[in-house]
Amino acid sequence: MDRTLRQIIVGFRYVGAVWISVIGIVAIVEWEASATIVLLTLAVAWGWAVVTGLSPRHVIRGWRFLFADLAVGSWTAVAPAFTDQPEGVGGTFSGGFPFSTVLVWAYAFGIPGGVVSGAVVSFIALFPGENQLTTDLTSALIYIAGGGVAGWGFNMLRRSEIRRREVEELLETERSERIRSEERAEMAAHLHDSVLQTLALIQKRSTEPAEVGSLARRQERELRNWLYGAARLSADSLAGGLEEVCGEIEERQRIGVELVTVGDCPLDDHIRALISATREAVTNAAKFAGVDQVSVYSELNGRQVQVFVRDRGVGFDPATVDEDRRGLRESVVGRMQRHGGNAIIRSSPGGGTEVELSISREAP
Amino acid sequence: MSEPKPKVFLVDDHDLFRAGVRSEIGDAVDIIGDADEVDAAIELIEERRPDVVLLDVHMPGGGGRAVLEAIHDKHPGIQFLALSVSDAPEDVVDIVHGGARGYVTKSIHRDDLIDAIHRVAGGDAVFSPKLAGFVLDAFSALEPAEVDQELASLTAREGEVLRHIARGYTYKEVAERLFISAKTVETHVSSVLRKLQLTNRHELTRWATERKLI
Repeated sequence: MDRTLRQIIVGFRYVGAVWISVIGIVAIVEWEASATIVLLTLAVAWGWAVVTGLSPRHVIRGWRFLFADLAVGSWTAVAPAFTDQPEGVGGTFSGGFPFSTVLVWAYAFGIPGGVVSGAVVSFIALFPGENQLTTDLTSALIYIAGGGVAGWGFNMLRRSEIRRREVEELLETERSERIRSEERAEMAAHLHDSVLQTLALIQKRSTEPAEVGSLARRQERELRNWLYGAARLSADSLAGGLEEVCGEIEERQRIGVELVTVGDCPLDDHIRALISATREAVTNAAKFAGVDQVSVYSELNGRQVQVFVRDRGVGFDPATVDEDRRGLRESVVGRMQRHGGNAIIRSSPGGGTEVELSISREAP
Repeated sequence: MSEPKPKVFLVDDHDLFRAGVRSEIGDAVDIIGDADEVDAAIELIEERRPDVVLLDVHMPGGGGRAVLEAIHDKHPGIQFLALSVSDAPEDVVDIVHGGARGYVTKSIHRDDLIDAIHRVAGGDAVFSPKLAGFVLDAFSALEPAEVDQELASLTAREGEVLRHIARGYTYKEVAERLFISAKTVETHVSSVLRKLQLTNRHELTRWATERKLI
């Protein structure tokens, strides 16, 4: 805003300089005014206009410049008195130039600046003359009133600018506050739906360790997914599919499944069969091994994929598996063989069980 | 217990967790102090000289890695066991690369944690199945041409040992299955750890970020 005001002042001063030049030339040619005085005055006016225009920020601030400005303005106002114009011929040639000084002072000191500088400039112009008192008094009043109005106008513009900026800041603060509180509300809603509910359930079931463990595991997985959502594995790959399966069994069977994957590849029918067989093997371990922890390890080696499902449970004798316990035979061994893969079951009573699944990826 | 209790120092910015660990293992090991921030931890560890520092990976002010870097070279006798809720590959591998002798998650059972502390105090490495998997993955991904050939690859035996650990076997079970002594298993694991620590940190970071984007 201050910059705009300064530009207005500089602009007005140039206009004033052109104005004083035109009337000055008329005064020399038509009114028989002293060319020396007029040209000197024009030089001062133009010189000062250029100085102000080049660096308005400095000129319209420092005391020294302000008083120089007042001197220049006063001189251009009083100069017509020394031009030795014949009585009654023409008028004063100052034009509007002295008023630019009043604007500068109004800019620097508001209403008092405008009024005081207006008074100084116009009364200095009164001194040497014994001309028509009424005309000069009128012009003095116009200067003083003009200075006051300019000061008042500048103040108003500045104040409205400050108010506008305050309103903007307020809106900005409100906006960021609203965004923050929306985020907080979203976070609170999520935590309420998930973590708080789980904690309430855990308190209710604190006497059932298996249940508590399962609740905590499920919550942990859910929270991790929420926090690091984007970074997690996608479900349509070997590792992603295994993670999904293991999570599902953890939840359903209330055991822990530790999954380690080395290498990953996209799904194809063979890999899907491998994942389904893994699901069956882990479910089996969860149901029959009598442990609370199963380990799953997968490794991709070229086109070959291996999965190991291991528990430290009761184990069994693979040779004597009941006919009706078809899970391992059908869903694991059979499924793997149908897809050109292989399943090996190692188990002994008391020695835990390990199911080794291997298959190669479909030909590209 | 015949062997002396190892002196343990806890570094974790969660008060609740420190209190929990104290009450869980306080009778099995000798907890000689704890700290909840990096600078205090460095000062107190230098003063009290524990055998093992249980180190949280994520902490304000540089995290566990900052504590490791300040202490590790000056006091090689102090061993670090990293403990974290994170199982992000970059965290796990970075802290082990920085000199930790092992990495376990905070949900580890009490007995397993005590066992891990004893192992680390004895200079051995503690590899959880997850860490073993990460290391296997990292070594298969590192470009052999960019690092020393010898360092960049695991021997067949080391790979086999790691694979068993990743499958959920304990060191003792691995030894039985591979017909070697438990001490030999330890030797293999320690050698893997050394190789990991000698690889380029930059390479590992690249591996970890690429892995995450799968």
